Amino acid sequence: MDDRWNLMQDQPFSRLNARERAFAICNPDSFIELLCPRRKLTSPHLPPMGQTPQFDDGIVVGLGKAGKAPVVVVSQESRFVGGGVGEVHGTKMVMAIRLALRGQEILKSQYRSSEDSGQVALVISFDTGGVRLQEANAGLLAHSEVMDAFQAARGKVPIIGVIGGTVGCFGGMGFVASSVDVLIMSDVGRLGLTGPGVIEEVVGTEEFDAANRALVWRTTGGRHRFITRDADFIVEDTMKAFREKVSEVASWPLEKISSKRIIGTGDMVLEQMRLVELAANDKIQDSWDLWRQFGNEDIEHLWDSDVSEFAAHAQRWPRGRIGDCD
Amino acid sequence: MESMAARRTEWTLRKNEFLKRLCEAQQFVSEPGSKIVDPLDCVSLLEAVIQSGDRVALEGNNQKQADFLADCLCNVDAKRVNNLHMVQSVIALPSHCEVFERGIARLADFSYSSPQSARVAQMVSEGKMKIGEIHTYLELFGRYFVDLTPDVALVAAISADRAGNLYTGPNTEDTPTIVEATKFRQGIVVAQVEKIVDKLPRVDIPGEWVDFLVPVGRPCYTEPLFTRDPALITDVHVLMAMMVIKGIYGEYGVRSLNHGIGFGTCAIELLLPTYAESLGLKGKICSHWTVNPHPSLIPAIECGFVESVHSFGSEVGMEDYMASRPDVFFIGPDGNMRSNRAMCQVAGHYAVDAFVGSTLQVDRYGNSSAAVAGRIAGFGGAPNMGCDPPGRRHSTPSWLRAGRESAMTRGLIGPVERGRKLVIQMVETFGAGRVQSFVHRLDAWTLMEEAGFAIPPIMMYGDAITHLVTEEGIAHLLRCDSLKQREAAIKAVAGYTDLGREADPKETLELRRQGIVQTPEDLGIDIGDASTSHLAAHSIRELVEWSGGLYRPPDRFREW
Amino acid sequence: MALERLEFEYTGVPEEKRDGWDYLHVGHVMSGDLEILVERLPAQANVSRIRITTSAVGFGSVWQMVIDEFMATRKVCGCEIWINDDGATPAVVKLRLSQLAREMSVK
Repeated sequence: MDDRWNLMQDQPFSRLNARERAFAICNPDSFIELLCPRRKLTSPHLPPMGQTPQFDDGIVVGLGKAGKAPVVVVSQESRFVGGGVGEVHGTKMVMAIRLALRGQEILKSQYRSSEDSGQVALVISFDTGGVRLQEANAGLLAHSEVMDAFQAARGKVPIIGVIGGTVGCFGGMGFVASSVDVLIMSDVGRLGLTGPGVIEEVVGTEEFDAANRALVWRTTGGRHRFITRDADFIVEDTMKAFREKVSEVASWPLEKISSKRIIGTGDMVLEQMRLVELAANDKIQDSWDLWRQFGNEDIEHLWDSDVSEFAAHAQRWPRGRIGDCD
Repeated sequence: MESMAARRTEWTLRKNEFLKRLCEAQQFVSEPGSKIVDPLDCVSLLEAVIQSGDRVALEGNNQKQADFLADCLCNVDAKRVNNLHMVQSVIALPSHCEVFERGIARLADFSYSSPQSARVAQMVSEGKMKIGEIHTYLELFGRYFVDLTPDVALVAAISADRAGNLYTGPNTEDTPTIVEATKFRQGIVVAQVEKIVDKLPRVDIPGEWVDFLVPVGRPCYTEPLFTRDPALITDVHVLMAMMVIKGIYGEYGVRSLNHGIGFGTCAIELLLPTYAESLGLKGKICSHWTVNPHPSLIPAIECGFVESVHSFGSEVGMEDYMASRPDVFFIGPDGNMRSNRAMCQVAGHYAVDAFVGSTLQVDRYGNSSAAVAGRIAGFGGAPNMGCDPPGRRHSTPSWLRAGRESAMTRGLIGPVERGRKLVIQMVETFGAGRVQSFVHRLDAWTLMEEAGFAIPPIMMYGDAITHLVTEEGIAHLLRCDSLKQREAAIKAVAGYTDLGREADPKETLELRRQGIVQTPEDLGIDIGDASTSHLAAHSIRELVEWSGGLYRPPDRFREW
Repeated sequence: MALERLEFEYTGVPEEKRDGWDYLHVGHVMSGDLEILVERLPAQANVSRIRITTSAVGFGSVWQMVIDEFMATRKVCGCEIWINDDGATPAVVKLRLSQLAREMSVK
């Protein structure tokens, strides 16, 4: 088992599937899957529409340890219907968040301090286009339930988001990913609301060419999200890099993790609006204009540099929260 | 006294005609004696140098496109200039069709039209385009020097100097052939360039052969046609690639070769540093290539598998990498690679041990075709790569062994020995949407009827194929001693298709015993082991890493 | 639009020694691919059942042949094999089954 775990650590996170990611983001031999494929908890909505269901409904949930912290892990599988969120998929996610919350309560009641027990953290690996079109109502409902569960977890269970899959995180799940405490992305990962293809369809190819992958990535990818501080960390596209960062963050005190959130209060909304205002300026035609605005000079070099060099040299949006521990 | 034919007295009719046009067009050059024409005057220039009924070579290559000149040709006054006869390698751009839609051109002789295949078929059926013939590249180039010599050539280069010397750089492709055919029969050559410079890196086309330069201010359009994202290779591709490496390359000792652009061949390239290496085949196979600079070759090059690569064209993003590997690629004194389609086609036809391609359909005789009803796609270079050239006289170990094994060709030439090029087709028994690849009747027959061709457009004739590789196994067709046995071997690897279900299990077993058919098991390959995890690179990004950052993929392939 | 469900049953000789696995799972439901889940049947160890759900309708006879061949060569017994298929070609089906067989023998 350890061999498999070791092999995965050096592999690109983006190439691994949801189950491998969940398994390898935890300590060796610590991950236990809940509602595994054998339970055959499949979508009732897909078969009547001629879509073959998948036994895990495109999502892996389970328990493990990340460093010292017990974690509940949620990992979306983009190979199945693009990681789309349907009823079962959404419910598994919601129940996992509630499980984390319940686990935290139990730990708190049985141990005097979190130093004795560690604290339960929730880790979500997003790889989704958002609502699954075949079951849109259930999918939408699931989104709101997830947000609701996030709200219930505030100040109790730290939520760490991870985006490094080939689909990234779009649609309603883009909102969800923005609501986590700490967001870790690789430069393969993308975060956005409306998907590139839809934008092109609505505004035209001249305005946004979705086939221009470089354009798509520099507008929605991890490097840009790191600069605009939508993502707290950018890591290399390896399983190991994600695992180490998750373990590190999960060991922080709850207050420190919570302080990383970018939405949730009126002030935070105003702060976010400042960025929107900046980006809506006529002079900003491309994400790179924004990078320049924040004081980045040799953009092409920055764009091609490896992730550690990028993270060390990129000038980020001077958000109000700048200066705190990053 | 017998009557004699009257003696011809005029010997400079073409020269006079073109001189007249050149004089006429002098009004559009920037200053007397200059060859430079303002892009805004380009349509008028074309109206002056092209006359109705002319044969025009519009540079449409596999990759590089004289796109600005094509747009200008679409905008000439069709009342003044019409009934043109277009001769070009590839009908690639919408503007190449537009010239016909607008009634400026009527007749086309070409080689390949896959990017516009549906529109070409439609224009033919509507009578807007008449097809002379569809050729292979070499045939078409040959006819440029016989009966299809262009009157006017519209070509593309990177830059020019004031004397008209052109730098065509890595994507030189078809330009030398087109210009030579045109100019040495007194025709007119117009070149679009990005800019005019004082000193060119090197001269690819001598200035005397170029009449007009149009500095467009931007590079010509170039299609990255040979970039395959390794992420799209499947386990089945890997299985078939393993069979080719172990069962054919290793077996025959294939040193020199050409690859098509399918994912199967891409998988082979990416298995060389891993799987082929593990079989101890490094230095024994795949050292000399006539192939475009596939980015997927980078790991094999970096691992020392590859000694040389000559190319038909270049590949967008590979320029710096090639320039940094001058021992491998064909690099000019200026430090940049130069491709040449005609030369590379000759090399791939005569000078290699093997060709590997993929196809859409195969019939019971092994004839294969990528033709689809309602689409006219042409041939490109595949038929020349994928055949045994009867004119070949030099020998290599692979060629000799294949010749000795060719059971059906022996005997016609007495006790004389002769070799054979390996022509390998890779095809999955079922294509996308579970469409059968093995068929009783090729779609090429339907297309022939629709388009009024004399013969069905067969990409590779069955007698040229030495090996058919499917996920079921390898059919060593060259080892068959009768057409009946060939059919049985083809059926044996046709899997669960209708044709494959006709296979007689007893006969298949006998063919396996004789080594005419080999399954993965016969080759010692565990199907369950066939996985993309064996590939040396799994993404474009890993190819960039292999190249040490020298390969710069086009924007459409950068997913990070 | 609807999915097709196919079921095949095979009787064989129960294995003397059981490998160390309880259930195995490979693949994904994606266009041209499939997932396979195999579980032990404890009670009737001389029977194997294959249950296929597929979006490609009308390929029952091809499935029958592919599965027949697999069962004949791999001698799988006492298992229930569940397949969720989204239009995989026979090549992909055979390959995934072989990968599964490999997992079976490794574990």
